[in-house]
Amino acid sequence: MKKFSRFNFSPTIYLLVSVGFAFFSYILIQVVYSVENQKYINSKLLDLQDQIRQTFQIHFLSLLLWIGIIITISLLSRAAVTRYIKNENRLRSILNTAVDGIITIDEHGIIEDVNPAMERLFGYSPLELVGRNVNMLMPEYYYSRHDKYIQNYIKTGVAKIIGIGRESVGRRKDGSEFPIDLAVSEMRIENQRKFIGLVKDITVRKEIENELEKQLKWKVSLAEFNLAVDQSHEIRNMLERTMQVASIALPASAGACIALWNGKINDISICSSTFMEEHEQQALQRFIYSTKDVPRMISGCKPVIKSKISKPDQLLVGSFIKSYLGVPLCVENKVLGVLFAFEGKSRRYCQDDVEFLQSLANRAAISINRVNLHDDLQSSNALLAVQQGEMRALLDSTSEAIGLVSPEREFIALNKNFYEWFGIEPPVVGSLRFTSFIEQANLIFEKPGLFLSTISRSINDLTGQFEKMFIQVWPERRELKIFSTPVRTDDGHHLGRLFVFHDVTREQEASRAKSEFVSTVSHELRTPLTSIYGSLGLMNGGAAGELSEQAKTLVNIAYQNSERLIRLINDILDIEKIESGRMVFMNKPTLLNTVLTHSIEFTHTYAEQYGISFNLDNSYPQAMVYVDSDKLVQVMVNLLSNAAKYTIRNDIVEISISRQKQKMRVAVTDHGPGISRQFRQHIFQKFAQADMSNTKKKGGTGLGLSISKTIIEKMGGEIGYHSRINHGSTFYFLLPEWQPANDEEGN
Amino acid sequence: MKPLKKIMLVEDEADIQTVAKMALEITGGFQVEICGLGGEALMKAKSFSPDLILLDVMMPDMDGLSVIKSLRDNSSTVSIPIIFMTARMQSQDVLDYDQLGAIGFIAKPFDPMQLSATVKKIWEEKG
Repeated sequence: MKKFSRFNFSPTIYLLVSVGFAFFSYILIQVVYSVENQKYINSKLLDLQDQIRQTFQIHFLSLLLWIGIIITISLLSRAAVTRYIKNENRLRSILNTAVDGIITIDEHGIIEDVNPAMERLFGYSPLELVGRNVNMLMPEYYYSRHDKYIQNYIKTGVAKIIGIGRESVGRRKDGSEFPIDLAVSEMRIENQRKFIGLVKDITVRKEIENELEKQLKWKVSLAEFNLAVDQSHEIRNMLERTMQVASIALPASAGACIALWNGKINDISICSSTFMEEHEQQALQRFIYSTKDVPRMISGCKPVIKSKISKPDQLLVGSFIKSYLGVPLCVENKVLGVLFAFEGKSRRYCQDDVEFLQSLANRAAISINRVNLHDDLQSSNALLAVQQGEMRALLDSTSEAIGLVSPEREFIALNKNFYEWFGIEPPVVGSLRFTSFIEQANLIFEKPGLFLSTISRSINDLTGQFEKMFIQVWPERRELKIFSTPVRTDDGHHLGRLFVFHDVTREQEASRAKSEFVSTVSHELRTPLTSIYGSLGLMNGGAAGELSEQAKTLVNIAYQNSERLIRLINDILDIEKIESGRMVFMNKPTLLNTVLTHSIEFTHTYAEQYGISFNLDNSYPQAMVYVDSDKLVQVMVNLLSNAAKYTIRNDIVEISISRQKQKMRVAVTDHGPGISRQFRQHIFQKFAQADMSNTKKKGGTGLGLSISKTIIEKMGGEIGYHSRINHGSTFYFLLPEWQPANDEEGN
Repeated sequence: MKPLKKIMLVEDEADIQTVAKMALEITGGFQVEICGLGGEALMKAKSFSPDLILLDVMMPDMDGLSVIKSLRDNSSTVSIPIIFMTARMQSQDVLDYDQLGAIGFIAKPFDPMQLSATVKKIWEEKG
């Protein structure tokens, strides 16, 4: 081989050299022959020697030609042999270094040759293979199929493997099986049929394919799961479908279960499982309640993997469970429960398995949460509907018309009376528009402008309450007292303004009737009283002539009691006016000193009978107040007469005026016994009197201070007192001082 | 100012007529003419020509408010000062009296010994 290798030219070069030499020889012969021939023609005089010499030359040239041909053939043969050897070496190298296994068998399946790759693939050495049946490289269940392929092909020529190739299964020397890609081709050597098999180990490819297939299957499963649970609003369906997907797609060959947790310790319950038998279900329950994996998953929100149950009794589900994977059902950091997938054999769960089951659990948790929220929402809606119904019934059962208006000027709520009273047809859908009501208000109210401005102003007022009277004139007449207040939710959100229309027509009528009655009765009482009081007054004053002492005493008693009766009637009328709100105040700027002087004038005769005198100490003779002077005189007379009545005899009642900030303070001070502590809390109440026996003696009605307090407060002032037992009492009132500037501002 | 001498008292209650007339005559020295009904007052106002009329409000034939309107509508009586003497002393009533042109009002029951003084005081202030 080394020897040949020095002249290791390519066959083409050999061929070119050989052909070139032959061609050169031929040209040489032709040239020589032509020259000689021409010479022969031209000279035609050649001699015999020349002919011999020519003949010799021709044979010599032919010989040269033959030698060239032989050399050429020899060179060509040698090149072919070299090439063959080289190709064989190359082929052998290829076979020896091929990754795939190559095996040659005869038509009986006997192995004739194998390459080294076969040893690597199957674990047999070539010596162990050659001469034996190829079946040894297949699982037993392939034997008969393989034989049938070969026999069938030999008989019919129909190829199933041969010349086609297919995936099959190989069996190694150690008995393990692995997927192979097998390509078989046929050849004939010395009229014998041979089969050459090309065996490729496709374990990795199959693993990748299986992995891809699994991933695809999981994705499809999850997508189908999503689609199914999205349309479902029943938790049970959802749980069963979750387990179904876990069982089939993961897979969980021994079953699956879901236990839901209600948020309390140890309060977990199995909601769904693939275990049908009762004893299995009981065992599963024991497992769920006893395993530490459940609290671990709940607290850590992490999956639990048990690839191999070393102590089967730890798993109470049954000895057929050899491994399991558990994942929590988590949504928004909240654990809803756990999902277990069980296997009947040991299983090394990979990260993908955990991720798939966790994805499934997460989606299930989201759906469960959604259904729970949906259920909660439905429950809330149902509850809300009930509450709304109750609220509606409550609103409708009230005797008022009620409307709640939002800050955006829309009705939030209206009751039945509102529609009925104002002759408004309730809309079929939604609530009455506020603007529609406003438009109708022109027809409904006697003073629509005042009503609308009041309502409009109040809607923007977030704090104030008010109560006002309005007269409704359509569709029927009503006197309405409107109470309005802002409405806030518990968290302080301003909801709107509430308007409560209270029909006070009857009350007003009753009140008017009462007032009329009181007025009439008072008048009817006054008429005879006028005669009595007048007659007694004239007699007491001596207008009817001189009376005896006894007659004078009796007339005086009658006269004073008729006076008392008059005061009582006047006070009752005042109280009635105050309570019915019909006491009218005609306030105007008034010189305080004038009021005090008049009051003293009116009272001094009365006080004189008790030996009482008044001392007015006025440092502010020009001070003015904005009051109804008659009413203020009434108050002052009451305070002075009280002081005269209740102080010691011959006392001097002090009347003083002072200024406190922008208010004028008028105080009436006596030096009497003072007001008992028991009486102080009742002093401004109606018919309150310090001492009944004393009252009888003094002839009061017990209404004076109550009336005085109301009058002072109605004029923007305040009234009070302070008293010391055995030292006397001071009653005072404060009224805003009137300044001319106040008048310009609208007073 | 014309002195106050002739007073016409329009009052339907006979007892009050007596008491008021006596009080006015004794304590004030006035010449008092009594009318028991509103319609009568309209006629006597022309014939008697009082310096002042004391007018009750609640009367059976026509009330004091109608009487004062009629007196104000008649040129011969339009200038006679009128004081209401009434038991109706509600605030609205007082406003009405004022608007109808009364120069004052005296509440019933009145103090008979002060009646003449009160009438004179109102007369002097507003009459």
